[in-house]
Amino acid sequence: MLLIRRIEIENFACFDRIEIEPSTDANHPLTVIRAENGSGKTTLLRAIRWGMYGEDGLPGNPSRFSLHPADWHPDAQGIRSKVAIIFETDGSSRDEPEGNPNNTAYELIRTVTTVAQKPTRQGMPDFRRINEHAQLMVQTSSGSWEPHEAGVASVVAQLLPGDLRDFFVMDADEATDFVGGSENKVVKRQDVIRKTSFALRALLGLDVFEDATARVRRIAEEFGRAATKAVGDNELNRQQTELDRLRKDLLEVEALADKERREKTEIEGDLERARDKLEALVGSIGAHDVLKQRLKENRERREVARQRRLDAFGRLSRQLSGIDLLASLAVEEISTVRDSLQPLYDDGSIPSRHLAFVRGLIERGVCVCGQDLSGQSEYKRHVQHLLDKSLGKEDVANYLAEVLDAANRLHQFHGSASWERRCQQLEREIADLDQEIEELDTAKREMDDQLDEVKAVEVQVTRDKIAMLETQKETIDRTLGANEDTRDRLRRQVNELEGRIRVQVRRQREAHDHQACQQTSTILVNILEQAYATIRDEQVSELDTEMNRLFARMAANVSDEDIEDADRRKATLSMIDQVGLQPLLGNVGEFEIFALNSRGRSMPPTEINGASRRILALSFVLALCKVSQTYAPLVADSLLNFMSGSVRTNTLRVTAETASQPILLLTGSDLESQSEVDLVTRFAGATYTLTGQWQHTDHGGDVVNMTDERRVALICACGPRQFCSVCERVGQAANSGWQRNPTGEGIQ
Amino acid sequence: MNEFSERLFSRQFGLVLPKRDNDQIERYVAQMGRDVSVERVPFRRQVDFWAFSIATALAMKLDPMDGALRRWGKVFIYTPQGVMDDDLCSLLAVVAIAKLGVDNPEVGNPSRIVDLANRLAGAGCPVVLKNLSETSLRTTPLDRAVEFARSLRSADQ
Repeated sequence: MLLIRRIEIENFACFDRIEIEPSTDANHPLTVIRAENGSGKTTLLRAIRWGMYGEDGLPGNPSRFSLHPADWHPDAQGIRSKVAIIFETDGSSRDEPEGNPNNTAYELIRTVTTVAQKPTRQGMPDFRRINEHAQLMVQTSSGSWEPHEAGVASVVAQLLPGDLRDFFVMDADEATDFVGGSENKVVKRQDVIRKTSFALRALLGLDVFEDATARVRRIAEEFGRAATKAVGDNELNRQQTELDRLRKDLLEVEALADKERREKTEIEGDLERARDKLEALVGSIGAHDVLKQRLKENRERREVARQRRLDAFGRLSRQLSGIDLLASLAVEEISTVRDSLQPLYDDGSIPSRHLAFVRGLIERGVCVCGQDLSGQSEYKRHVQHLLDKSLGKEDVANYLAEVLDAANRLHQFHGSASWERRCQQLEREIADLDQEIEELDTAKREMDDQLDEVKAVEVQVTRDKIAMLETQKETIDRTLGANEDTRDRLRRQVNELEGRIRVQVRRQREAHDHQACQQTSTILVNILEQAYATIRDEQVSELDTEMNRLFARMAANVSDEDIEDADRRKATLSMIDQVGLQPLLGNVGEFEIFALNSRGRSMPPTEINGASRRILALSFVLALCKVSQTYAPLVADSLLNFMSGSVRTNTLRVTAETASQPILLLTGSDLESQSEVDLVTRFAGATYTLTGQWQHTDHGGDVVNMTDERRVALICACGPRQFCSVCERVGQAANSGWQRNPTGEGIQ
Repeated sequence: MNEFSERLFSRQFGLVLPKRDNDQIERYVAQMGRDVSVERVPFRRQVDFWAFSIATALAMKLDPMDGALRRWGKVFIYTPQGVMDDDLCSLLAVVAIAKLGVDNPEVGNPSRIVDLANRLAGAGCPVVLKNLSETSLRTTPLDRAVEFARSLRSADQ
């Protein structure tokens, strides 16, 4: 068993200095490192890979991949990046599952210094790395550390072989290479088979059997030759020479047949892709993305122009009911009213002011002439009577004043050119838009023609390619058939000759001992071949069963805890009914993952969706670890992408229950449901949260506190639904579903 | 709401257009549920067509229609339904004084103002329809309506 105790990272990309101690508690094996997108999850994964495998663990062109901090400017002094991984192993294996009671602890330290590169060539980075150094320390029985004598490469190769790095430290996108790649990346079938077979043979120990069988077979042949020579018989010597020649020919023919079989597999893969493409082209799906994009843009621009044209028409239509038009057409009536009412306004007849003055005198109780207007005086009654009679005229006078005011307001539109200006502007706008739409229509017609033409050409090219590939396949089928016939004939000849030689040799007393040895070796070869076949079949069968079981549990569309086994298969994603591993016919030792639909038809990778591919790859990884009893950490990034609902919950549960030391890099949305939070609470022995300071609200993000002014990612011990001053995001403090975690603060 | 719109909205007055022109009017006024381009249907509401007909009658100095309204007219809407803006109400009040005279005792009577407006609309309506319905492959009813408005304005000025 191998367990990671601690990971230390310094000056690596967005990390200034962080330390992670994954859970080593067997009852709570899960470690969750939560981070939002763009917060450093993938960088953390790359740091671990670099720590273990050096530049072999980096993606793409490693020399262009920058390990140094983002805000460091290349200088001569340079900056030192470091990753240290402390792990321990009890030496347990398939043969000795109990392991060693005294665990051995190791510390793998990898450092490198990045300095400026001058002068910089076109397209090359302005830095280069010097002094890369890896050191493996081992802890002695007294507790002190000393360099390990075997060195880094051999120990890492033995514990976690570099070719299996995607297996144990996986970006889930890359892990889908086991099933033909992700939705955005197609991996050649031959590469899928090579990768799958390598993992299978390495972890199940099948390659040891293959090597041993080949070695014993060579020994048996040596014994045979020695026995023949010991006889000293010319005829036997001649026969042995002939046998050697036949065996050499047989090896060459077998190698040729293997090569042709591989080529045939490639051609079949190419043929399948070409047929898919033809189907897509004929169904008007897929190709000509650029033209389609331009057509889409054309449609969008035309829609915008059409809307603007409609809007312009609407505005032009509203000019017909605008008051400035109506008033300018009624100018004569407006002028008449102004001419009639203005003199009345000027002489004070409108609006009525006198009656208000008389009402004021009555309220005061005294007339301007001194006459008493208070109480019940006759004068007051008389004045009041006259006032009441005049009230109707007062209303009319006031109304006329309002009309005069309205007429003056409306008169201002007379002679105004603004209506005409607006109409002309709108008419010009409409004419421009008409022209734009016409141009867009012309461009669309041209693109439609191009699309038709391109499609026709591409369909013909694809058909030609299919015809060519079919011819190639027929040719290779013929030569492969001929070579296999030759191989069978040579095998028969070899067997016959071996038989004759054996008969003759048996007669020779002098060769008795050698012959006995040859027979023993041959028997051993047979035993080894049978044992190999038995172990391979049993383990592959066990692996099949385990893969199926894990896949069905993860892909169930109800909670893993809610269903019985008998119903589990019914709940599996409806597309896939069975998954497993199949040996390739004629290629001993080569395997391929397969998926069957409900009608028993094999589903090519292109028909399996993103979530199912991840689950399929993960079920292979987990099942292979379990069957081979490989107890090692599983560091996985983006594992739950494309998954939702019960599938995501079940995948998290199965990984936590099955993997030896699962270290999962998850986003907040991977843990949004309560069932996932409960799973983390139940299985996690350690939780961390990564926070990128560049996501602070000042930079357009939602991180509340700026703990460090630099462009670094900080780490705290917060779990799901927890926050502290380091990782707090906008809205969490006010959300009752989130809790402040006092212990998470200050950890970096 | 100003003094004039308060008067015109204080009671229910029917706005009227000639019933014999009803079908033709509907060709040039947008109808609920009918998706026709504004180019072909230049007036968004019947009241817009009504106001344009009044303005046409005034600009062309046409006499208001005679006779009982119900004989030749058809109510298309009632004033409380809020179809006229303040400026149009003010204009109708001004036109009423110009046509009836300052000394007319009914000069501020909303019923009389609307009645006069309806009669002017009745006189202007056929002229507007005649100008809109002229057949031309190169012009739309909206083009013709704007062009007709232009000609009325230039004749006035």
